[in-house]
Amino acid sequence: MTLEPVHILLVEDNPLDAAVANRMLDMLGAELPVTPTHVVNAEKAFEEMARAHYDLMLLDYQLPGVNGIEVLHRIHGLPRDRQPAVIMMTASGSEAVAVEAMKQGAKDYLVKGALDVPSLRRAITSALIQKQLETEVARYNEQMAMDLKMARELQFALLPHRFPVFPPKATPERSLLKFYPVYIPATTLAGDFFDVFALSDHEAGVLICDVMGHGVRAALVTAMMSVLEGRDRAAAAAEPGLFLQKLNAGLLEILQHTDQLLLTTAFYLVVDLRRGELRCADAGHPRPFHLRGRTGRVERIHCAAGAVLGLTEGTYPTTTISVEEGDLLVLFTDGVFEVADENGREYGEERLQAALQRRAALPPAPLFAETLDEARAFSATKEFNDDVCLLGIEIGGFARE
Amino acid sequence: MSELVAVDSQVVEKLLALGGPEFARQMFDLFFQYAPEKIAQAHGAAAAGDWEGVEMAVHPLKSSAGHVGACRLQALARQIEGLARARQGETIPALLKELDDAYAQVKPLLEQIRQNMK
Repeated sequence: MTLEPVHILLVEDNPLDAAVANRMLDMLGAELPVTPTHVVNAEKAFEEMARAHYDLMLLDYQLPGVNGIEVLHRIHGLPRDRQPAVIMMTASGSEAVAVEAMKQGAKDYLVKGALDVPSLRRAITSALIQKQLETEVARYNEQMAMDLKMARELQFALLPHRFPVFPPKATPERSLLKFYPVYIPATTLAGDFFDVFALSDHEAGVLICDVMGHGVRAALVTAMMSVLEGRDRAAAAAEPGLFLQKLNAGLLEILQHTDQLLLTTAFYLVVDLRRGELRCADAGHPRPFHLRGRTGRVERIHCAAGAVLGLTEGTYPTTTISVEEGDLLVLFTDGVFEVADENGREYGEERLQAALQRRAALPPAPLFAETLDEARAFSATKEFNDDVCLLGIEIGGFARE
Repeated sequence: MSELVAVDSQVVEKLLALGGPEFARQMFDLFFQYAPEKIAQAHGAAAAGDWEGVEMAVHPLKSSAGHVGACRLQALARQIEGLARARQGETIPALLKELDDAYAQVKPLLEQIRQNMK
């Protein structure tokens, strides 16, 4: 078998060092055929790399007017497919320099005074393998990033982008129910999901759920939830407890084919604009807040809770609560309040409630923006650590019979 | 420095083993051409108080001398490089004079070795 020659650029200003290196390259033999080109400074090296492709560079650390680290930085500025693997050639006693070169991306270093053919062969072979692995990993990462980008776009497509209006012929501005979503994924793909749909001309169904974890696994489950809630909507969505029960059964049916425990918390509510009430059911999800327009007080919605989805079959009780014109319902996932400060203290639901209370007079959009800013500022990282989903439902009035 | 032998014959043997007499002669010729250039550069830089220039001149001289086994020259170049890097220039002129002497001493020895290479 004939091996392709390795194109090597030797960058060395000292003619004796260059002669020795060239001689050793000649002696590498048929198992590592090489085509060496010798240049005497960095400028010539970059001219040469612009002219032809080089697999590997043997780079003298101490070149006229420039050191090897600076050359390495310039090489990193080249397109990846033009970057050769670099082996730094140093003088004896320059081990610290060599370590720095390796940190900056050199694949290996050789001490010129101790150079011999076996160590040169070993260094070149190892550097080429490293370079090839890096190229493969980079290509794989690029493919993965493209896949994740597409998955993220698909996931966003599952979220509602238009909201129902009540009554059905009302303009969005004059709708009796208005929706204010905030959705911030922690990674490219999120485990939070919400949906809003009209059940009748006076009833809206609102589902929010949070799949344990985030990333691809969680995103797949949110996609399943989207399918399941669409499937079960007609049969059960007017009855929140029954709806969650059906979602849970559907999820368990799918998950039985995996050995993974994929838990999902969910809260589902129906706002009934004729009866002036909301009916809700809870599957282990943080309970929403109810900002009462008449009193300006922020209260928790007390809803009987069932087990998280995806764990076991069970029933979910439905709770009915009266609502009034001017009320705002605030649904959210735990990413909103599960942030910790420098001392490890959690922001928590009580602080979240207090933050909403302090701003209760604000319209929903600035209310949410300022509240999220406060939680973010509390965090030691000044960022949310998990997916964040927050959904406001503003009740502007009631429908007549 | 005087206790060092002027030429390390083992280094010359290694050179011969690496590339044979033709290659070794080529290395000696390169050295005769390159070393005086670098020594002159070091003198010029020292006269201007340019210690970085001295360092840049003697650094390649150090490895070049090593390739032909010129031990004393190599050791002096290393010493001067260290002083120049530390910007301790007081003793450098005297050491450069020693460097001239060392080169003058080793050159005929190397020429003789070159001539006797088979």
